[in-house]
Amino acid sequence: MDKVKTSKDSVSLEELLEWKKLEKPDSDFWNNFENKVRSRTVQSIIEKPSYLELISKIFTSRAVLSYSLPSFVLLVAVTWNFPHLITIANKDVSVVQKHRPIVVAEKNRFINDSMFVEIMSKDTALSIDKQSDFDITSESQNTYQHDFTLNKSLAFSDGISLDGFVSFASAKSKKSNIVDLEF
Amino acid sequence: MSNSFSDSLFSDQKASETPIALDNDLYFIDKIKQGNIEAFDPIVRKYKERIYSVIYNMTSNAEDAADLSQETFVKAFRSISKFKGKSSFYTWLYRIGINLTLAYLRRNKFRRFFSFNKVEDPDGNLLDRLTSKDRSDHRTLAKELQEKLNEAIQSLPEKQRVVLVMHEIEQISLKEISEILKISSGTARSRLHYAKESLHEPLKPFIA
Repeated sequence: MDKVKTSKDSVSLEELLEWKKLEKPDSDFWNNFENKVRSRTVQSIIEKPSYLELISKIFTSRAVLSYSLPSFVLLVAVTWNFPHLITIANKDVSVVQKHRPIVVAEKNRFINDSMFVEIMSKDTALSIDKQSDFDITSESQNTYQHDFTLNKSLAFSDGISLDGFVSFASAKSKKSNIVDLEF
Repeated sequence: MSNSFSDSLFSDQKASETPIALDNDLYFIDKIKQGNIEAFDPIVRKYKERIYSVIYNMTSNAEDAADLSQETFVKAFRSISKFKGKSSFYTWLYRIGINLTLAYLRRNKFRRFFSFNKVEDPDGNLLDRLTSKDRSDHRTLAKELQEKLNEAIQSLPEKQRVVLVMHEIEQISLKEISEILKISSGTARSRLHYAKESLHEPLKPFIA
């Protein structure tokens, strides 16, 4: 111990620090303490973790850290070579056009509703007037064509570059959903 | 240091219970891992005062200490599956408390204030020892001493403060401190040395 006594009557630093040991909360404090811990603990179980916590958990997990680089490389490679595969994998329902590979729609939330499907082009030079053959297929390859009414359809020749989007509107809920066409 | 921290943990229990007590932690931890929330109560009961005390002396703020010590237990509960028993439970629990406190202190570097607990020295024995007995203004002096002590401790760098608080106030051995803070015993010793050296100047009126 480093004694810091400078004279017979003086005290050491350690003795002074004894004073700190005497600082105590009231006895009432301890009565509430356990209850508070218990309620906060229970609350922490019930509470859903925030998105930030989830994201941080995912990105700091050992598995992700171990596999993130190879996974990223694989993802880039697949996206580069087979972009339509990635698009399908991320969505629940896809719109398949007869001549061209895949147009992807989002989710299947309207599947049980009667729906209008509208195809529009951002390129005003393209006319949108002819019926086209569209299927709505899920990832499990179920076809929902009969659940849909084609409101407008787009016919185009092979070789035309189309920059457009698909607009879905639920007849029941009137909600609309727009998905870019990907060719 | 006469008592090691692990000894002092059970100072309020009968000597014959001491060997079982250490195992009790693991017993309750197993129960908690199996989903028994109530098994956490004895853990809180056992460590609450020590955890609170170290955090209070690190922050010199009673409300912050209450909140942080509760948070320590909640975090320990939520992370209990990560406790593999590589260190003793109290080492692990202290580490959580210290890390939470250090993070809090860093976040609130520029907006801190003191909020002291009362000093329990009913007979005035310690104050008599620390001051000359003929002084009549004991109450004023006690208040002044508390303020100066806390100010001096808070003026220390966090790394030194935590070692000083744990060793000098909480009576935790340097070996145990080094395990909790994951530093070498030598580093702990040196931080303690510098901390004490730094305290001499502001506390000179009381020491000399």
